[in-house]
Amino acid sequence: MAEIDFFYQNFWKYWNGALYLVPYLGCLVYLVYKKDKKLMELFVWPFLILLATVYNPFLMRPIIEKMGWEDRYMRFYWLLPAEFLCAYLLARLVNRKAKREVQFAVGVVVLGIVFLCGSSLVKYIPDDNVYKIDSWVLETSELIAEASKKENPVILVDQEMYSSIRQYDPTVIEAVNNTEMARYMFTDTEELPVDGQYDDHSTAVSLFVKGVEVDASIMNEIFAERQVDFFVRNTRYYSAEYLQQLDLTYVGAVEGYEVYRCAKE
Amino acid sequence: MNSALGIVIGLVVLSCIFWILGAGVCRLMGRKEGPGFLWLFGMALFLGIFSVVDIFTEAGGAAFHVLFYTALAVLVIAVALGVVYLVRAGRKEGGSWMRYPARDVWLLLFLVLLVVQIWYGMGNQLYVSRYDTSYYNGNAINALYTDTMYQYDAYTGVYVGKAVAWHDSYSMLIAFLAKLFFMHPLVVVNRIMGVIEIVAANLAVYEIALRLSKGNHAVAVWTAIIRALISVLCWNLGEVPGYYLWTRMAESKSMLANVYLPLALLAIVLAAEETEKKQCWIMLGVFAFAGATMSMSGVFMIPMLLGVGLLPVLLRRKKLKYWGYAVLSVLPCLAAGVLSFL
Repeated sequence: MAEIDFFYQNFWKYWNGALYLVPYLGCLVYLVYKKDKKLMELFVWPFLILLATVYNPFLMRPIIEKMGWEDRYMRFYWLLPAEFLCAYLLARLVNRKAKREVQFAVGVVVLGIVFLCGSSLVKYIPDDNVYKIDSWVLETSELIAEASKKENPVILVDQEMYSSIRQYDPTVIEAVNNTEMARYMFTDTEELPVDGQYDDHSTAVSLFVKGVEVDASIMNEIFAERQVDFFVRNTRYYSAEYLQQLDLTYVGAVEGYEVYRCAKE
Repeated sequence: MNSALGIVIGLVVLSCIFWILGAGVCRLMGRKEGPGFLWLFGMALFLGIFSVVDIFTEAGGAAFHVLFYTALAVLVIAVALGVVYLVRAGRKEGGSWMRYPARDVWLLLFLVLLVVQIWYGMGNQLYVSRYDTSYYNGNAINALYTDTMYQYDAYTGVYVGKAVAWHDSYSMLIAFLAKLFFMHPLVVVNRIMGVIEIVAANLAVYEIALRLSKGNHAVAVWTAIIRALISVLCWNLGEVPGYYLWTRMAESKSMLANVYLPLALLAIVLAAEETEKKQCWIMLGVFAFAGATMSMSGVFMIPMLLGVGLLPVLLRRKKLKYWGYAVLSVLPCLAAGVLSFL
């Protein structure tokens, strides 16, 4: 049953809402009903072959496990040209030999249905700059460049900044490696094993970048050990009292972040 | 060049290169096609040529500047040959070797559709996976900054010797274009490649619909309009290609879902309609190779799509030589996949 469950989860995650799936299956049935040989050859038969092979849980499960494709399996649904086939058959419907008024009415109904189904336009974030990256990334990079005496300053940042700053600025070196950054990436703050900070510095730094106020003496050791030049604080994390215990000197601030030099002055 | 003008110049230059390569090779094969198809085919040729140079340069462990100058030299020679060939052909035949699009309301509608989508895509900063892009763009920016390929960790910038086991050619393409146009890699990815992805995705849909509807422009443009509306309005209804187009634009997997796989479908449609023509199989080979080398997932997905798409076509034709054509045209794509894993 584990096989079925994996494929069931992937199926619904991909076809969420089934907006694409139901019309797509309807289109395939329509092609069979109409006995359209050309389109059946291009769309129906490949669908059936995929159903028997790539979408067959019993055949694919061992292959997926062997290849390590668990998190990529959903991409196999891209092999189905669902959007295209629905759009093409609707376009043919709009353009069928009928009166212009009928064509227009069909067109309006089709576009209306698509419009009513959609809500993606709500998710629109106007861009700030030509790089299409948050402005605080650019400003933080500039602050560090101005304050740094080294060509390649070592920085310690949170997860959000970690995923962005080196896309823009290749001069900075991250003090936290990818394993440490990813260790608690999907763990809720309340569920973080905070006592792990005493196990080793690697675990301590993983907790610190998630906003845990790791013992200040441990963090000061880590700053020195990894030769961190700048600490970029996400202002959602760490109290003022806690920051005073760290060997830091304030450099400047941008929206959502503060930059500190790792040395007391 | 990190400006609107720089982006326009970059897009115009790339479009000219795509068009010259596509037109030159189509003319060489004696094939009459429209400007949209020539642009798409030229883009695949461009990506394919770059990938070949990239695969061999990386195998030799060379520095990034070796890749840059070698790829530049090869592309300049290819484009120069294309220009000379097309000028000669133009003198001889007066440009009758190209199929010109009808200048009607459908063409205008299609252009408006492209402009609206480009405006939506370029104005929207919504991005859902900075973690993934930090890997792709990190590799590109490391190559430019350190003049090496995949020797520095993309996330941290620390020297590691061999940073990744397997990869596609997309990150180095970004670095190549950034150096070529004196641009930041983020501008190349998010602007230049973003626009190219939107245009290519729409052109691919248009070209497939045009062929299926036996050259009916109205059906082709309506298909492009409805597909674009579904894509823009409903991308959040699942992890569909539209989701990757609008929230992870110009990532290699987004290009696979929205450009390379539709191009493979276009190649299947061509092969189904003109099975006996070798040129269709050559074009299929070019589209498949470009897609497989520019996306790691493409190494599996494209041969799989070609397999299931071509099987019914080949079974109906019942001629052994078509099986031979199919195997030969998919072979470069499979070879590229094997090389990626070595």
